[in-house]
Amino acid sequence: MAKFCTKCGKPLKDGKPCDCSVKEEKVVKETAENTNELISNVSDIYKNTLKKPYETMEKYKEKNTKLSLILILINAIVFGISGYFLITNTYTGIIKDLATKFQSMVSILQIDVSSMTASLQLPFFKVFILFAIIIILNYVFLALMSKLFVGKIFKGKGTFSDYLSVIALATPLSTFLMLASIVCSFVFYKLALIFSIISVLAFIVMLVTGYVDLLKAKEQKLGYSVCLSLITTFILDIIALIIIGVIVGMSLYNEYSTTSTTVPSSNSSYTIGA
Amino acid sequence: MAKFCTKCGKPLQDGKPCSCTAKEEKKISVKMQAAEDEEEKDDSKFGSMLDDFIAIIKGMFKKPVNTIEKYSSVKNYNLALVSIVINLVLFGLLGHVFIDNCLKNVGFSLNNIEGLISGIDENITSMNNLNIGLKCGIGMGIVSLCMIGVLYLMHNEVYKKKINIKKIIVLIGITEVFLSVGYLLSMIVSFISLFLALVVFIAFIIIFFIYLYQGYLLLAKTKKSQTIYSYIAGMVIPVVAFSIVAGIASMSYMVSAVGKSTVNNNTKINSSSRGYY
Repeated sequence: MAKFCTKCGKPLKDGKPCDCSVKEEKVVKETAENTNELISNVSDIYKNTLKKPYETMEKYKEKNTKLSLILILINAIVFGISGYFLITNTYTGIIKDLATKFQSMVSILQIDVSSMTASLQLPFFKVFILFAIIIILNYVFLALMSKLFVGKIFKGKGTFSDYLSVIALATPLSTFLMLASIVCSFVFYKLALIFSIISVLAFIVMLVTGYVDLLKAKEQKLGYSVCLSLITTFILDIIALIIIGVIVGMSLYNEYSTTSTTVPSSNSSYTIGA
Repeated sequence: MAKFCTKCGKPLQDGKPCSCTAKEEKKISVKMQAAEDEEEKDDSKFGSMLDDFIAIIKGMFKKPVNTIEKYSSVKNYNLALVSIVINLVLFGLLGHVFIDNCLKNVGFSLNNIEGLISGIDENITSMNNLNIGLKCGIGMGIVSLCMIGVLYLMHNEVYKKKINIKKIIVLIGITEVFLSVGYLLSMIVSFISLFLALVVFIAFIIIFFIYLYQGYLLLAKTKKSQTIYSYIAGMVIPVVAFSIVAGIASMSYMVSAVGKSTVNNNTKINSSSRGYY
């Protein structure tokens, strides 16, 4: 029988396990309970947000960083998927519309343009990741700008994580509307675009509600503070997009320039200017 | 069973209420009707309307929520209607001026183009008149009507809480005072910088929707979640319309900016080649 604990080296009492393993079990058990609670909170939010968006937001107003991150992640996943399908299906829809419009003009030439279709071949995973990263950055920038304008300049209350928490609680309603937008994009792309616009509107309405009721922002200055937060967030998004675009562009350029300078010959291949 | 009325002491007939109760109820309902009539009595004097209008403009920039609360009564109904009309006229003017300034960047004018199009056979173009200003004004009027109609329908019919439609019209009218100032500012700035004019326009639109939401929260008798859904439903058409307008304005600006730089480059090339020869 061991006399010392193999994990922490403490002397063992007869027949009893070491304290450290008891503590470890307790931590694991607490983590499991917290994880279960987190999952049930998330599912509760999504179950109730369509019926009672405000009451659901108020119920979970106590700052919970993990819950906020999960809600933002779910929204980012849906946004990534919706980005891909909106682009591809809108492109296809516009081409079909144009083809139908021109049909009347080219019918004289007896060319059937309306049966022409075009689809945009995009790599799903890359587009999905790009959109997901953009929206996550967007929420982070929005929380920062809200803390700056709503919080500091216009003398509201709340920390960065408070604003992030409100932003996260404002996402579920817009997530449902984006899902509707994905479904509509296969049927009628214009309706899908309208749903996307409505999802942004719903997000801003929930955001403003959260700032006023949960964070007690200054009501008289809310228009200016939220407007400035949104506009500066948009500017930061554009800058982030440009930076991501440059990085992706440079990596593609490097990849392209390395492969194009390799000239195969019948006997050997050599690299020019290497 | 009581034999005499407890309020006036008159002897009671079997099973019937005293006539003094019926008279009192009638008095109360007449008083209430008079109070409602007093509230609905519009202050239609032009001078006081102008003073109120100016006070609303100032108040919407300093303390918008207090201003909306103060002026959101049915007695300002005429003022609200005037504000809505001013708003759609200014939006029409803004549309005309903005597009005209975009075209001037590339050496055209909107009046010339509209004249040209009206001279072309309408069988060739699908329009015989461009009339951007008129179309923008009518569009803004339709958007205002949609906002009023949907908010009223959601509140009254969907959530079954009665609301006076005049109160919604007054709310829209007051918040559109702020928007009208934004249109005017954007129009003036468009002569200096089209990009800044676009930014001013978008900023005022965002602030307008936030003020309207805050005003609707004060007015609505529904639960908070119902108010949120009513507002979102009411703003679908305006938000989509303004998104399309902002999109068209942005594209017009970008095309005019590209056109302007092309024109400038051609001018430079021509003047440098003349210098060479």
